[in-house]
Amino acid sequence: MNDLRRLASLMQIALVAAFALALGGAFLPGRTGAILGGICIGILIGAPIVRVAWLTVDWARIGDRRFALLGLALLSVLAGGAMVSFLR
Amino acid sequence: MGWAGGGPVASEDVNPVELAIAALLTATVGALGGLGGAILLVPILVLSGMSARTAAPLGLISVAAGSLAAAPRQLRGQVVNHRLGISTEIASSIAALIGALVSGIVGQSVLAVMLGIVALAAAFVGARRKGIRNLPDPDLGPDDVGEHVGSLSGVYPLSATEFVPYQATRIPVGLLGMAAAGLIAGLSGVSGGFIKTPTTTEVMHVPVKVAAATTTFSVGITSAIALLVFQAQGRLVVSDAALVAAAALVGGTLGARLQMFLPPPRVRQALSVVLVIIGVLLLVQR
Repeated sequence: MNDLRRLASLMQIALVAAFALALGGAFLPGRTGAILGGICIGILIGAPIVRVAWLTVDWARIGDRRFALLGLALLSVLAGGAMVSFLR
Repeated sequence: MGWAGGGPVASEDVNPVELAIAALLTATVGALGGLGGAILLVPILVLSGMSARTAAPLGLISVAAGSLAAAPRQLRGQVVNHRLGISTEIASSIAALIGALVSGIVGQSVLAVMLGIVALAAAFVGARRKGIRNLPDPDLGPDDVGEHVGSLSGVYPLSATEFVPYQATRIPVGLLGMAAAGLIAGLSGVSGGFIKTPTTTEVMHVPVKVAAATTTFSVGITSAIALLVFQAQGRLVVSDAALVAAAALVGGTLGARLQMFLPPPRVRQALSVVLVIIGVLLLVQR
């Protein structure tokens, strides 16, 4: 299994988990629903970031330095965005 | 959305069943056309009586869910050019962050007008988009499929026996388009897919199938950064967001499956008609 297939499997797991949590968040009342919904949103936000990080590591591993650096730059932008949003 | 009488009640008088159906259908159509479902969902929610400020984060939830739903299939099919997506996404994400940060001070009327113009622009771009520019190379086979290491090029399968090489061109102009897409995503929550896909095909000359898949990947990143900001601003109603996410995950999966069978140009033409109607209504009813 190559790295993209592994990443596809990871995204499949995230997809199933996000769907189950979204159902819980939408239909379970009170704090439980809010927590499950919050985790679902966390997965939706985190999945593309994990995907970029995975690809960045993979490209660095195979020696594609230019694009590994671009991946790192994008992750830095995302981290900066997260910091700005939480500091405001 | 809050809770009353043991069942979910949509915020701002939007029925939860209607919200779920709207999210499901728009995510399906959005994934089919490679435009992102938010371009349809946000105007529909606004027309249903929801404020643009509340609808925008839900639009981004729909986009993020649609992106995740399409990811496994698109990764296995190797139609996404991740190097292109990540290179252009740096400009989009910075612009989306700026857009999301200032969106709170942009009036609802301005947002509604902007969404109307955006819908009409998307309709125009979708209707005029060309079919196949890059032709199959008979020397290429299934083993050649995928993106090339160290460049913005690759090979994608047009059919089971036809394989098409491509190379992204005019990168600086493409980056400007991606920055515009990111700014609109952050401001309005409609995702910039309707700008990114045409920019990738018409400016950078990447085949539409690769462009749509790469856009679906990259709008997930843009929406993630904008959602972080909306979360911090307290604009995400978790139960509403969860309902939209569940429906959009199903819709995105359906759309990604249907995309394998239906010709995207035909879908985009139909989508253009819907967008014109939505755009006109938004501009008239603001």
